[in-house]
Amino acid sequence: MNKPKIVIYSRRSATATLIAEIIGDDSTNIVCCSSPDQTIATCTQQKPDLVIILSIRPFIDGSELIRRIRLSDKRHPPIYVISWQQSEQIVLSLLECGVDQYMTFPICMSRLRGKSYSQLNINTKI
Amino acid sequence: MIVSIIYITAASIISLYMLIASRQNSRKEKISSTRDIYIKQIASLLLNDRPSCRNIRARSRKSRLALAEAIYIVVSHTYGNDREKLRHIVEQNNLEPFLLRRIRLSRGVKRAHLLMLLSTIPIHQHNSTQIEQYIHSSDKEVRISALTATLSATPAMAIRTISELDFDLSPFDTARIISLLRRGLLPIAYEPLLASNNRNLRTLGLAIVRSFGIEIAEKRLHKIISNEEDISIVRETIYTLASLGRPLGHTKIRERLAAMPAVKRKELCRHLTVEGYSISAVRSLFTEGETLYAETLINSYKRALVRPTTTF
Repeated sequence: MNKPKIVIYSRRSATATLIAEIIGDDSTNIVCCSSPDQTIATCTQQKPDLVIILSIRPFIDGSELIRRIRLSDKRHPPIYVISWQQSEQIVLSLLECGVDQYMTFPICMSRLRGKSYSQLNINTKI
Repeated sequence: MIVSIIYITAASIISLYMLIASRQNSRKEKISSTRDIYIKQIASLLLNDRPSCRNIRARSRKSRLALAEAIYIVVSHTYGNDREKLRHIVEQNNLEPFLLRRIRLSRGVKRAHLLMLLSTIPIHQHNSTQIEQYIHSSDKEVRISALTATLSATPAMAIRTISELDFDLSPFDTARIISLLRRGLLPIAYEPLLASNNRNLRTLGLAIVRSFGIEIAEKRLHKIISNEEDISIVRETIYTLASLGRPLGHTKIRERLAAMPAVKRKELCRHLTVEGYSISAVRSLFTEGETLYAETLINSYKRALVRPTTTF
């Protein structure tokens, strides 16, 4: 059986490592990206089952990145955004762009793991 | 002859500089890769409690620093972790005396960074007195980092520590304290803070209301606007009400706004416009000229840049 693929985008390698360790195990295949272009290219090639975005900045990346991921992969993989941003406007605009889950740091490790596992199980069943 | 000497000197300086830069980069990469290994081990220990993860060791000075940074990253990004497991790692590697010694020997930004690392490490309460001395530092970064470290070491004394501060908390300082609250390290209720006469406690209370969107605090906020003498607190309270999206048409708010300097009024007018208050709500608070400014802002491309909904 194919391992579920997860793409993580973060500008900071340490944060990506932490999230990869929380949600990943032997049964998952995780790719960490450090730039928006790399993330889009990886999503196009790898066809991930889950995309996790940890860097959201107005005007640079954010909904533009999400829009391009959605265009690159017609299977519409679930996209989670985990960020420090709490502004209601930013959260709403991201949800409007097609983000499935928005979480703010600090996060509960076991909750994030449970959520991603249940999401991946649903996908593999489909 | 002279020209060739200049060329040779310049070339040797450039090559020396490049050598130093490449060595620094490789050192940074080494530390960051060590830190990433520690992050994996700590996260694995906190999540799975595998026996193989219990023995996290840092033997050199650099690896201890990398371990402290790894703990900082894990703790600052997560909540609900087992403090006892973290304490075990800290004690196993003597991180507490190591960081305290390095804080004593360092200065400025480096000291602030080390204090910040210390704020996420479970330390003994008796060591908090050693950190408290840095709260009175003239360096802003050092004193706020020392304050967060003290608050996380002695959370029960938080209100007393903040009330005894000899400087006013800035919005950046309150954001740092709020991050402790979000991680569940600081059990503070907003009500006594809003009722307090101390400026710093009141500022923190308002920041809590704003950050957690506590709408039931509206009555207290109106009370502050009516009775408070400090105009900066009144301004902060109006911003808090605006962040909660509450109506601002009360007579008392209009009176307090009228007494504000023109620059501050314009600042608030801009903020309310960006927050999405209607032009009629803005008109009821501000003069005709200021309302015109708000209208221009709404119709301008600048507003489209300011509001993330239209740009994202």
